[in-house]
Formats: sequence, structure tokens, C-alpha cells
Amino acid sequence: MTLTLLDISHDFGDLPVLHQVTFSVKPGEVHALLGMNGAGKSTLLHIAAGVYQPVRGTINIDGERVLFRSTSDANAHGVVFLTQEVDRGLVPQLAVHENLTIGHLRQEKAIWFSKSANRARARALLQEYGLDLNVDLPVKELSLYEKQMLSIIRAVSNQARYLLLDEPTASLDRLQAVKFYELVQKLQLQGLGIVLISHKLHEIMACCQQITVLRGGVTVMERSVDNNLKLEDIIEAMTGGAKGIARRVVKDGEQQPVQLAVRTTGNRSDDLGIKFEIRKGEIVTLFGLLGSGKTELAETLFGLHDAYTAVIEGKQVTIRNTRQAVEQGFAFIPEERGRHGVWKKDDIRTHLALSFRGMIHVSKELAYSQERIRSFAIRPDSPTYRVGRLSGGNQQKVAIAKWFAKPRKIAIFDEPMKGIDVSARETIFQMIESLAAEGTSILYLTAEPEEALRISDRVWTLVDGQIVSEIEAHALTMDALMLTADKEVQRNGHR
Amino acid sequence: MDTVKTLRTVKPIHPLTSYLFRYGAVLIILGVIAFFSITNDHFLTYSNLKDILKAISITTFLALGVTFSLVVDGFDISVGSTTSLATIAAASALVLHRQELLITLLVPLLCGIGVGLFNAFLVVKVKLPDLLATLAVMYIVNGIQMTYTKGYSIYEGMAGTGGEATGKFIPSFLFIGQGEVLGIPVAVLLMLLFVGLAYIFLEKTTFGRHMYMVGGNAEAANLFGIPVNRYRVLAYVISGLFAALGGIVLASRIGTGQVSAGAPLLMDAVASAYIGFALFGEKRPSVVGTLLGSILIGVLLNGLTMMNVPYFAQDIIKGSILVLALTFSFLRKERSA
Repeated sequence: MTLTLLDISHDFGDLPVLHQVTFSVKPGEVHALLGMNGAGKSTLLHIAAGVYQPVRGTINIDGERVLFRSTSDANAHGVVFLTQEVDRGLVPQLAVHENLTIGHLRQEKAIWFSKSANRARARALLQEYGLDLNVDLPVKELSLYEKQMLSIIRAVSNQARYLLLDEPTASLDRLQAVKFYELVQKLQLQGLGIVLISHKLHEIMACCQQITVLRGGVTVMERSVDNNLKLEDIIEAMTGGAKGIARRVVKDGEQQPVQLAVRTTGNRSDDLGIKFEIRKGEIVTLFGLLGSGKTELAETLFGLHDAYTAVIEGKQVTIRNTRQAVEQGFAFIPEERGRHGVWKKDDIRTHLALSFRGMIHVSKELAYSQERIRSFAIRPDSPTYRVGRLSGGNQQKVAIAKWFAKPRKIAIFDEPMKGIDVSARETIFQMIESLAAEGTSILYLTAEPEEALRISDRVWTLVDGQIVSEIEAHALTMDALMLTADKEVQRNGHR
Repeated sequence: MDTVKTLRTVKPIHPLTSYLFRYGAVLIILGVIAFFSITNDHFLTYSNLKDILKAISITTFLALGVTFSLVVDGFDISVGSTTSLATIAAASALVLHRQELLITLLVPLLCGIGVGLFNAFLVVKVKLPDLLATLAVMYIVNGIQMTYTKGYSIYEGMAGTGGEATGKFIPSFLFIGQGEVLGIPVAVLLMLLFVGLAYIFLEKTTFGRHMYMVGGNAEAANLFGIPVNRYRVLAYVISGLFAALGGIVLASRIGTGQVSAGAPLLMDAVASAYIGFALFGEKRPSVVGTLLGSILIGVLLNGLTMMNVPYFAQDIIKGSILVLALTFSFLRKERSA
């Protein structure tokens, strides 16, 4: 009854992702799949779920070879994959009971559909798994947590034997996470095999029997969870030892003036509930795992949510909307570059000249664009090239460069390296550094320790929307970073 | 997932096909003009071309309004009834209230601004879908001008509440729609003037650029600090203003305040703007495109009338042309995705 992935190798074009990885999960076992981003965890899970077909290697169930050409093939063998986007499998307009029993209804092939019988059936299912939910509610009104629980219960009621979960607790709060793991435990006792990807290591330690750590597409650790296993060992396996140390040159003692200060104001309505100071030309990394509230904080600072008061260059200002944020000297490079950062149908020149005012002088703009394209190393170097046709890295360069037709005081980067290839990364890092050298204060938000190490003057760890610790660059190592973030999550969890 | 997508090979498009898609709509216009010039000797005469331009001048004002709403990724279907309202307002100011030129021009324009603001309120603040909101406003505004006139047209010497109305359509007002300067109708000159102004605003100033940015990706625009809602309000107000301008020219041309005179112009205006949208295969509303779309429709109407095609059958041909133009641009592969 074991699901085994045997000698799996996979690549995307030239990019090798997995190399001869063997991974198996037994019924009644919770198996954690760990590793840094890009280690190949998600790819392995996608292969197990039939989303990708591996280049080499086989999938066996009970020693018998199976072929998953699609997710429905995998489902037919009882393997169910729940992505982070739980909405995908649910029909938002339909009620909870209809969503829950969709599989049963299909099997029954009944023409008549009794709502009351269906409600009763759904209620019984929800009760069995301890989810308290009104079965008549349309799914679109559920919280993420409820949708997730619903998806799992539905999978189980459809005779799933293996559950593959990709960072299921990332967006859950503590109480929800506890309840979630109660459900996981219950399913485990029922004999399901569960594979779990998570970055919250203490949760893994608490609920898993087996862990596998991937690094660079190969298995580096495979063992059962017992008292001898230390968090530090796992982190070392994930990071490959203490190789990562801060790479940015620490500046001498000269203190720059504070450029942006946000303070807690007590009980006022414009209170952000967070306080910090950033100096001129300083690069501060806000390090937080998925679901730590990074993006929310960035958006709030940029005026997308409620109004708040900040002190910029010693002057108190209130920021109510994005226009005022820009007027006060903010720049924002959003996480979802394609949707929020660029206009795919417009050319590079239009982006770079976006903050120009008055009449459009084409020749002037072209000359300006050419100069910017050169200094930011944007490829191809034609100002009339449509941004939608650029590579991800070059799109990001444009998304950043569009702000700096004039100097900005504070630039917020939200996960700027998402989906960007290695060669473009370094250029973008240098771009950010040169902006800082010109006096822009940088707030860099990331969940990637490597990036924090590369770019930071200081690192703040963010947990549940709160800055819980601060590390100076000279004290910064990758292991320290991972450990702090996780410890803080854990401490908060036990409070 | 991105990595997987890029692996799919893109089939190169034959350059000729690419040109056909890009300039298909332009070719249709040229083809139509060539066809009519060959089949009819009178088509390519100065007086006929003047007639065509005169005929499209009012529609073009409405179409410009629709274009502005399209630029911010909205839609204004109320322009027809706004034109009617403006016509009635101008006629009423002249005939019923004996006003001079300035007031006669101001009142309809204020009506246009009012309708635009109301549209903007519904679309931007109440967040109704643009088509439905402006459809509702279309009914409301149409009802207002019908109620005001009790369904009767306003003309010189009509029976008013206190006997015969004594106001007149003053010559300076009639000059707008009926006069000529150097052999060119004033209405056509006005049309060209406002087409030019709209072109300069949308294509040559950063305000117009920001308006396009709002329409292209409102979220990205907001995240660049562009006041998205202000631009959307502005677009609807400009749309109302252009419709009102159309109404003024219309009142001046026919010399009476016809009830619901703008209604039949709506569809031509929308069609012009959408042909312009499809033109050059850019899927981008533009002033030049709208003008060409308007010209295409004017040429068709004129040519078909000369060929004695009954007006009710002309709609079939107009519709088919719109389908053809839109098909060309929507079939064009979106390679930038």
C-alpha cells in the first residue's frame, strides 16, 4: 500500500530540477518534504500528482507501476493533490453541500437531486471531520481555511488514499493551523498517506513521522522524526551548511539621518501597530515566511489600505492613498509583476517616461529611455519593444526603472526575485544597491534567506504582521535567519 | 509553471497574413471607397465628399465621447440620449427663453457635464458595470428630455404656455450647423478641431497617456500613484461633453429641437469607435481610428443611398462591416501574452 516515486529525474528545458530522487509514503504516515525554494519539492509533488510526467523514473503503488498522464489519472488511483490555490477545485457559487458531494453525485448518475438528503449527507461528513460549517453557505463566502478543510474532506470522502499538501498552513492563523493538524492526524489514523510541504519546521517536527530534505534536486536527508532530530540539523541539511553569510559590505560607522519612521501611536485609528525606522540609503530586509503579512504591510505603507501617519525626513505626514504615497516619495515594486507592475501591451519607453508631466516629446523620451535601458541593462535594448514580450527579469527591470525618472525617498520591493533567472537576479541586486547609494531607502520584502543575505544592511523578521527581531548584517547567516524566523513562529504559537 | 509555458514553440506568422490583420480594416475602407467611385460617377465629387463629411460630423462627436470611455476601459452608451437632451436644451434656451448665443451654448454643455458626472458616479462610486449603468442613464436622460417637452418638438412659433413662443433660432447659432467658411461647412471644421484637440490630449500629453494606463491596467496604475478614479470620472465627463457638442450642432443644423434626435446616432457612434478600436489591429481605442471608423460608416451610407439601397437594408451592411473589422483584429494572435 505504499506510494513510491522511484529514481525520478526531471528538468524544464535546460534547467535540471530533480536528479534520481526516490520518495515514498506509507499509509498512516505523515511525510514532510522539506527544502529551500528551488530545491525541487513542488516539482516532485506535481509529478506525484500527475501534473508533470517525469523525464526519467517511475511511480509505483504497492510495487505496481502506474502511469499518471493527468491529475485525474492520479485521482483514480486515490492520489489527491491540494495546491495553495484551494479555490481551483471548488465551485464558488454553489453551496457547501453541493461542493462537498460533487463526486458522489457524479457517481450516482441520478437525474433527481434531493437537496435535503444531500444536506444531511454533507452535514454528517462535516461532523465526522469536526468542521463546523453551514452547509447552505455558498463556497465563495468561506474563508481560505474553511475552503481548505472542505477540499480535504471532499477528497477523503471520495476514497482518497494519499493526500499531497503544498504549504497548507501558510495562510492560516495559529488556531486554524492547530485545527488543521488535528484533521491531518485523524486522517493519518484512518490510514491515509500524507505528504506535506511546509516551511514552518516546528509544525513538521510536531506532526510528521518521516522527513525528506531536498537540496538542489537531490535527496540530502531522509529519516524518521525522533527525539534525536534537531531543528538545526534539518536547517543545515536544507541550506547545505553555513556557506551563506552576508555578502553586502558593511559600511563604516557614519550614521545617515532617518528617512522614514513609522511609530505606534497608541489607540488612534491610523495606528499601524508596527514601528520602525529606516535610514537614508539603507537596505532593510523584511524577512517573513509565506503568510507572515509582508504584502499586507507593504500595501499599507504604500497607502492601499487605511490611512496612516509616518515621519518622512523629520516631517510628519499622513498617507491616505497611493497618490499621496507617491507624492511623499514612495515607490512600490509589487509582488505580482505581470498583473500589477507593468502594462504588457505598452512599450518600454511608455513605462520609463511614466512619471513625466505635460506634453510628450517623443525624441526626448526616446533618448531618455535609451540611456535608462543602458544603465539598467534591459534586453532587448529597444525603447519601442513591448514589455509583455520581455523576459521576466527584464520586465522586472522595467517595473523598477519606471519609478526612477526622479529620485524617490523610499522604495518598497515585494518579492522582486520571484520567477527571475539567476543571471538577471544579480543585475537587479546591483540596481537596488545603486539606488540605495543614491540615497533611496530600500525596504526589501522576501521569504528567501539567500536574498536577505545578499542585499541587507539589516534584517527584520516578520511574524503575524509584527517585527519580532532584528539582525545586523555582520551577525547574519542563513542558518541564523531560518532558525530565528521559525523560533519566533513557534514562540508566538505557544503564547 | 512559467518555465513549462515557454517551452511551447510559437508558430511564426506569415508576414503577409500579419499585414492583412494589421491593416485589414484600412483596406476595407479603401476598398469601399474604390468600389463606390467606380460604380458611381457622382461619388468622388467635391459636393458629395462635403456631404459625407457633413453627415458624419455629428456622429463623430458622439463617437469621440464613446472613445474616451473606451480609453479608461469603460463604456458610455448614454451618449445618444445626452445628444437629444442637449438638442432640446439648446432649442429651449433659444425659443422658449429667448437667450443669446452664450447661454444657448452653455446650457447644453452643462447638461452634458451633468450626465457625465452621473455616469461616473454610478460606474466609479456605486461600481455598477459600465454598460448597465450607462444603459440606465440612457433611459433616464431620454425620459427627462421627453418629460420636459411633453413629447413635442421645440420649433419657432410653437404654442407655448403663454401663447405663441416668441424666441427664434438666432443666425449666429444656425451658423454652427448650416454655415460655411471658405466652402467648408462649419460643422466639419468644428469636428476636425475637436478631433485634433482630442488627439493632442490623448496622444501627446501625459494626461492622455495616464488615461490609457488606467484603461490598460487599473491596478498597476493605482500602484503607480495615478489617481485612477479621477481619470475615469474625467473620461465620462468628456464623453458627456462631446455628446452635448453633437447635440448643439444637431439643433443648429435642423433648426428645431427634435425629440430623441440623438437616439439613431448612438449605434453609428458606437460602431465608429469600435471600428477605430479594431483598426491597425491594435485593440486600442484611438481618436484617429474613431475618425476613420466614422468616415467608413459615412461613406457606406452615402454610397449605398446613391445605389438606391433602402435605408433599412443599410443597417445589415453596417453590421456586417463591423463584424468584419472586429474579426480582423480579434483573430490576430496575441503574441505578447
